[in-house]
Amino acid sequence: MINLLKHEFFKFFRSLGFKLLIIIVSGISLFFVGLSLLMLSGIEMPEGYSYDMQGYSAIVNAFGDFSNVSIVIAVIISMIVVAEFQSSTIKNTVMYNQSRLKIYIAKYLLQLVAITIAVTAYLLAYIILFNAYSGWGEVFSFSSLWNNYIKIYLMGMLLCYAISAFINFFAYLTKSTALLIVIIIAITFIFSILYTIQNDLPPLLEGFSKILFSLVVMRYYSDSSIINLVYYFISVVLLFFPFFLGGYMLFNKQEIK
Amino acid sequence: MSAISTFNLCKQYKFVKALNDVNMTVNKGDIYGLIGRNGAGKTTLMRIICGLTSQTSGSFSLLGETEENRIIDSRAKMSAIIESPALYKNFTARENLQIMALLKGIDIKSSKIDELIELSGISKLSLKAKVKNFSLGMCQRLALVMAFLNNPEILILDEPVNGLDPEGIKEIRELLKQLNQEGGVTILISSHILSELSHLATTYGIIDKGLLIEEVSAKNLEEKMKQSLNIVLSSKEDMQKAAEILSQQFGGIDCKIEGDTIAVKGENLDEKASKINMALSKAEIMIKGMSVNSTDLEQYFLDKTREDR
Repeated sequence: MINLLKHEFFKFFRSLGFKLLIIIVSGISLFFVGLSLLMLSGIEMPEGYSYDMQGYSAIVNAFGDFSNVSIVIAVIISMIVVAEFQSSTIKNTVMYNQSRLKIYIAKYLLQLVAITIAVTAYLLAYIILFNAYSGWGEVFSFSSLWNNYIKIYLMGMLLCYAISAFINFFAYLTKSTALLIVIIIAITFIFSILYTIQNDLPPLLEGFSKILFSLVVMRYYSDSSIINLVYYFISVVLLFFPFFLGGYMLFNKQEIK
Repeated sequence: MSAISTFNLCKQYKFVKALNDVNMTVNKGDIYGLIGRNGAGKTTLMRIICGLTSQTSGSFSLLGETEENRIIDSRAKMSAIIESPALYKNFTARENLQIMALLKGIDIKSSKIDELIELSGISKLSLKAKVKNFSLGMCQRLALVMAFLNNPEILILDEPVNGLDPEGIKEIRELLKQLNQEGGVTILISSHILSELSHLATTYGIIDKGLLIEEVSAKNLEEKMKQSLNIVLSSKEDMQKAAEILSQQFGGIDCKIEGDTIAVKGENLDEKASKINMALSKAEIMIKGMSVNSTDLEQYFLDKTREDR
């Protein structure tokens, strides 16, 4: 397993894909910062009021745009799996003394590290860019570190890991970049519609709508209520386990070309 | 002990039976040449042994292990190139070797990598180039060197000389012979270039439509390929008499008069030739000429698969 991990990490950190990933997430940060600032500049505030978009607000704002970004990052990272199938190099790992479970876990562990790096890069770029423009303000304090920063960061990260397991399932299923992107766009579209009409959903689907709500909103309103927090964890678990196990079951039975 | 054995191995795809009760034995130290047409089942058989696909029924052993988890462990002592070389195209040759060394858990020194690159015949100019810019021949050579990295006990090579020039083919042949003779490496190899296999293999397996129709050692095959002993007599009048003498005195042979030649078919014709010579001389029949008519591996394979159809 150690050899397998060394092998996976060596490939990843030396690949062009890794450099591109960092550039892409920084670019996304720049785009969203620009967008936020553009929107704020168009709002005229009543005298005596001002928008506080410094420090803590920046990370909240960053996660506000994070729903889409987390999917983009997870899709890019799931390309690690797709690329191995497309270039047939997956044969090497399967042939040399490796059980498919170990290979599957090693690839997922690499993805977790890659996601952590990508999300952190995204957030750092966002916060630095945002505050470089708006000023650092006085909102940062160590006492608010857990509530305002770490908790939100960890919850966002946890969701991203789950989304990655979800997207991975489709990566193993399709083994094709184009097909994977089409499927993910379709699923995102369906979920967006469901989220928009959640109040009109039948009572039976009330739980489902709460899960959707918690996935989209919970990360940056995590203090609002315990029940929402519970929904958040349920939704993460529901997103992770079936698709993580499903992905393994697919891979374990797959013909490697 | 056999290096690889298959027991009634079957592989059924949706509409095609790719392997049908294949019982193959590759003994340790063999160079086993697997011969068959496209789609005969050669690659499927190799893919099952390498764990790239699973059999529908039947089983196989690898270095004596039959249990699935132990087979996975045994694969550490094996290397394979199945279909196209699986190289990391966005990396250099050196990085490819490093990646494989990490996968195989080998602590590889820089000097060893240089040695292997030299062995692969990749020019120094290409060392900085990414593998995606390599020709098929260069990829094939690099893949072979990567396969040797863990000093395997078994090498499984599916069409390893595809894309190589004649010089490259010869080099690979010599290298494989050296690995087999000096390192005791067992090799299971398939190739469409049957003349190439005939320089290398010590045992052959002929596979057609998923059936292993013959498994034969190179020595026995050589005998089988000696189709007939052709005898030309000084006098045509002695033909009938000579044919009768041969049929009476030698068991297991078949004599036919074909024009001015007596064609003798049977086994061990080389050994029998001198005895036949003596028997005919004793009967005062003068022999003008005698030759063993052999077929080549390609013709033998074609005859064998035609017979089976």
